[in-house]
Amino acid sequence: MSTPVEICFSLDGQDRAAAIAPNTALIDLLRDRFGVTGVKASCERGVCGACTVLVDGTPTASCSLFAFAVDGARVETVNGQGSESSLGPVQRAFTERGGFQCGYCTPGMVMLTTALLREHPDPSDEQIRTWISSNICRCTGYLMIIESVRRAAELIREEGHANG
Amino acid sequence: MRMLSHGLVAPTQRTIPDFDLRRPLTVNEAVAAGAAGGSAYAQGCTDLFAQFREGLRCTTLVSLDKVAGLRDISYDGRTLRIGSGAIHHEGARHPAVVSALPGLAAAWRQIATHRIRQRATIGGNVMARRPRYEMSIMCDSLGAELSFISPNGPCRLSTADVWDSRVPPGGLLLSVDIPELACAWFGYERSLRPLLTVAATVRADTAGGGTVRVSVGSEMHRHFTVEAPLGTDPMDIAATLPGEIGDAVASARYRRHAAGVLLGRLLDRLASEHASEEKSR
Amino acid sequence: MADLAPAGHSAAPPRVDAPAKVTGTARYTADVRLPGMLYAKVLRSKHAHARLISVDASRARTVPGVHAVLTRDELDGIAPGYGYFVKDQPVVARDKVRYVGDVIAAVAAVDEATALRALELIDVAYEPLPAVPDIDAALADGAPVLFDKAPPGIVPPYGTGASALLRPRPNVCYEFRYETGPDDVWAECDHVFTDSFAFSRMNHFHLEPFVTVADVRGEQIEIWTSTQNPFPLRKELARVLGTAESKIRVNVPFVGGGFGAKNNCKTEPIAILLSKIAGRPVRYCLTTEEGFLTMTQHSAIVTVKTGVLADGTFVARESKVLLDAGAYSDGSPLVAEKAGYRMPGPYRWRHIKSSCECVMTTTTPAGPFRGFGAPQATWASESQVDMIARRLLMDPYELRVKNFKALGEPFVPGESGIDSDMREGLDLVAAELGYHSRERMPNRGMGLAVSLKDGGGVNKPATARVKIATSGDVYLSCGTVEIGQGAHTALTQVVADVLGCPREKVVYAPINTDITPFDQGTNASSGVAVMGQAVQRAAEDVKAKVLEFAASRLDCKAADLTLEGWAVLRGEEMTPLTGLIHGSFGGTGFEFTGEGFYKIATSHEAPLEAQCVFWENGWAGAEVEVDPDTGKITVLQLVASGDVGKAINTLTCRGQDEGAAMMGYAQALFEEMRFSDGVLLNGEALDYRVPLAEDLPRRFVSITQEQGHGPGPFGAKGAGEGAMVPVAAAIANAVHDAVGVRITQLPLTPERVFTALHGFEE
Repeated sequence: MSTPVEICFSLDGQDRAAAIAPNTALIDLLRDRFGVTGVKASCERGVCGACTVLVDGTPTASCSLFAFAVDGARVETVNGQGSESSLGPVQRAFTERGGFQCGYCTPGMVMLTTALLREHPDPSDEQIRTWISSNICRCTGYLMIIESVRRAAELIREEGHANG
Repeated sequence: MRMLSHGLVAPTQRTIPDFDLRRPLTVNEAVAAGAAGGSAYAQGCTDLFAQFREGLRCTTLVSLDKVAGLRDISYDGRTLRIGSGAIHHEGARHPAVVSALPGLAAAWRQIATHRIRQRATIGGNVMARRPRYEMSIMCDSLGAELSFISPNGPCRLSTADVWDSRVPPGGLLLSVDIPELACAWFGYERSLRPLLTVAATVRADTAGGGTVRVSVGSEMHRHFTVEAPLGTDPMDIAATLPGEIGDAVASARYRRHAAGVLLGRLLDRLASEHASEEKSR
Repeated sequence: MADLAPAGHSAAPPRVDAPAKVTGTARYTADVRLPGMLYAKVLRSKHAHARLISVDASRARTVPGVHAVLTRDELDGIAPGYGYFVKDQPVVARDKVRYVGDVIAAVAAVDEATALRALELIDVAYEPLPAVPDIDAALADGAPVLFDKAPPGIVPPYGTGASALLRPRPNVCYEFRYETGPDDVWAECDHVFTDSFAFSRMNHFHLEPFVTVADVRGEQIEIWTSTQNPFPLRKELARVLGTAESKIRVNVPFVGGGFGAKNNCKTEPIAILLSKIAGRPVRYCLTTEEGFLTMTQHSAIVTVKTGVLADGTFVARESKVLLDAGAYSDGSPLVAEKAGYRMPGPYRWRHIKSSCECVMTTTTPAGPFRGFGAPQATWASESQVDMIARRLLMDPYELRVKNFKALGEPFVPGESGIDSDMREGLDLVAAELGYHSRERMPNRGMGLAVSLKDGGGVNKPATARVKIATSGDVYLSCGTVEIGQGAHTALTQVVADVLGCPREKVVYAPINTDITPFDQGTNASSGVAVMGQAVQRAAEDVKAKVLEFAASRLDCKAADLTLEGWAVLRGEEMTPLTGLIHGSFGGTGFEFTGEGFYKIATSHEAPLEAQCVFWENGWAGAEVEVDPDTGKITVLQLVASGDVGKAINTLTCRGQDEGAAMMGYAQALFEEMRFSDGVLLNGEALDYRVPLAEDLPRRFVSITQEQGHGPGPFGAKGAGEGAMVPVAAAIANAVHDAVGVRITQLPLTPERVFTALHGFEE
């Protein structure tokens, strides 16, 4: 048995620590150890992006990252974006514009959108399309996802004005 | 999936065999760790998990995350040196790459997906030996030399060497070095991807001639590279591509033809860039 | 049917499953965990066709942490095969393996790694047999036979004109036939055209994998599974396992996409048997790669012979469809029924003769896939309609309009009438595309296509229950599974509209086959049009009971009362119901329950023994530009449309149409399971290309028509398949318009276009 690795990282704003076998994939740490079943497992080959989380702000397939690699990092999942009674702006936008159907790709799309709008608060259609092409949706045909991203940008701006 | 002697099984992230983790800080430490039998290097990891799912077993994983110097990129006017750990997103925008080979920078910015480009590295892309990955195609066209260090010392290999499995055991890719760039132009055509892509490097010589080195990637197997004197008709250059360029997806005849067309478009682009450069002088 | 226009009628309130899905709290079978749960992995055949000489799992059983091993030695009392009409698929291989991926053995262990290690220790001896890679190989004289003995099968009763045969010839498990009208009309035709078409094979690629968690305790079997048809599944499991249906409970959480793949037995039998052996819950979850080895769409070869008059009037159509059913029949006979039945399209014919055969090959089994035979039939039919138009020097639009069935005209004798105005739909799409007014530009062209699909299932019963609690909370219980199509949203809206309550007050009860009323399956775009009617009736039933109760308490007639929120109004006087209920039943209160049932009447006149509930028709238009130097097609515009009758929720209708159209678009241009000599080349996520956002056509418009002729609540019909079906033909027709070449094979690869343009130059 190999030596367990101690990691400390921030998970949706909470400090977490774990002793893990080095061959632990981040997706399994999040789903099984920390109960974040909102991180969805699908192709597990880094292609579909259903498992997308943010690691230090960068959208990353959690199926294709070892847990030891997030030691000292800030990890954000769909769990930290809002709750059913208090949805975040991206979640509200996807709700309003129907940017989901079966919902399996949705947490990944929400995280991708969150990262996109932090980097480009007023994204062009080109930027939205490029970013959203990172993840697969089998249900929607993407138009309603793209509209949800635009709406999310609006809502975030509105929130900014309200707060600022 | 993994083929056993008696059937197929489906490994997952949860069946990755136990391994010792090494996290070296220097190249020497990394190579020392990689020298052990059953060790594998890990950097971006975007392909590594697929390899585990195909049956990769390693007893030692050497994570290159903390190794200094693997992401350095530099250009001295002749050779562009790209560290193997250069992440696509950063490498494609690096001033050295943009100034040395703007065509490479432009192509590099488009491969894979946005998300993959934030994490995957040129080294991982080249070492994975997957037809779908595009950096090998570009590197081969550019005549890149792959600078390795192994327990037996440094060595330089070509992308073909990597595809032919000639990397010495424990060999660690340090950098992709693209030489002779003083008078080089690079262009990449991926409008027919994944069916085929065409990378073309033109190196002009002092006598007013030069060489075109063309690498053509396809969907199902490794890319092929041919060279011809500058000025050769692109269709004739493409006609020299071997018959193995055909597969279940598209015939060799079509691939040669389409490669010739795309190569022609690239060379036209080069010609018009030269023409506007001439004009602006 | 209620006269009330629904509150959510044609509006776009958010989906009711939004909060759960956008926050990631939605629970899928893939998220189910039980204490003590074990993990299952399987060993699959490496040969396409072989006799299984021996399977020795003795070493696997001794691995610490292994709690169950399942091979053909553990199948006492288990039925030899499962399936739909033909019971040919074993739980694990018995005498033979019939495709690469056929399951030979299964292990349940404390974790996946242990299970995999155990599989490595299973010894298998094969005697390889010649593979049967494709339809041609299967039908060749002297072809190797997949099934030495015909597996047991049934042919259901058919009505006028329809019939079927089991195993009409070697390697064909089922043939469906339909015929109507006199065949002497061929002599009247001025032209007879015969053309052949090839349809490709896609994988459903639902993002949630096939997954089951089974918990067997003594005689009681409980499963959580990602399925679209829990009740037929339960029935088939009972039969296969040799147990009573009442001993099997099927729970279905949210399903992460199905598209037809998740029907009947998939991961359930193995999970259950392993749990029974181990005495602990077992999770059996497939990888995406294994999904390619489990279920696919049918590829097809379609030959169509069409007779017309000189002026383009359609007279007669004879067709032969060969579906590649893969190694086991699964839903193929049902798909064959529909592929054959839908060959006439929405046109008038005097004579129709259709035949559709399910051909067995040593490849992954094919089964239900969105469109269910209509994509195959429409690819051929709508391509040929265009070809005929050009041969007759007619505008393809005019030829279609000339021959469309009128609104209300029976599809075929004995059938219900077409409930869309086909021309109205085509005009909408043509206008959106700019078809009639277009400027001719080199290498650019436009194409149209339409489709017809009998929707709502065949002879399909639906039942629902609605109960209202003391506080006015409402619970809807029915068997329609939320697979992404918006079932929860549409059906709770129907209840809310009948009861006059906010939609948020209606809970969609979890599906548990012990409690949920019977349903035949979430398929055939039937959720609103069929289940919706049962739901509407259940809501009306409970409303009547509430009013009866209130009337008895208020000493008046129910007809004197109306329901207003959670109160009754008698003239000007409002009486809250909560108090009334407490007054009658005491502090613990009560719940009222109503039931609803819907099924279209059986009719022997109808070819499929019941008239079609509604017609899910589709329209598509495409504008393309073809690069003559490479053959590459760029789709400049795609317009896709379905007629939903009346949209109960426009977000869900639009979403379904767009998702469906993208599937059709992908099939037209690039998405395909690639086989070489029966060996699958691209059975994993990197190599199997599904559309991404960057693949969208430059302009993509979906039009949700509400022609209003549907039988469902408020005139609703179904959606979710119509917009996919005609897309491939529309694009091929546009290519023909652009550069004058006809591609009859999918996908429309650059090489095929180029070769058609330039011929063979060696």
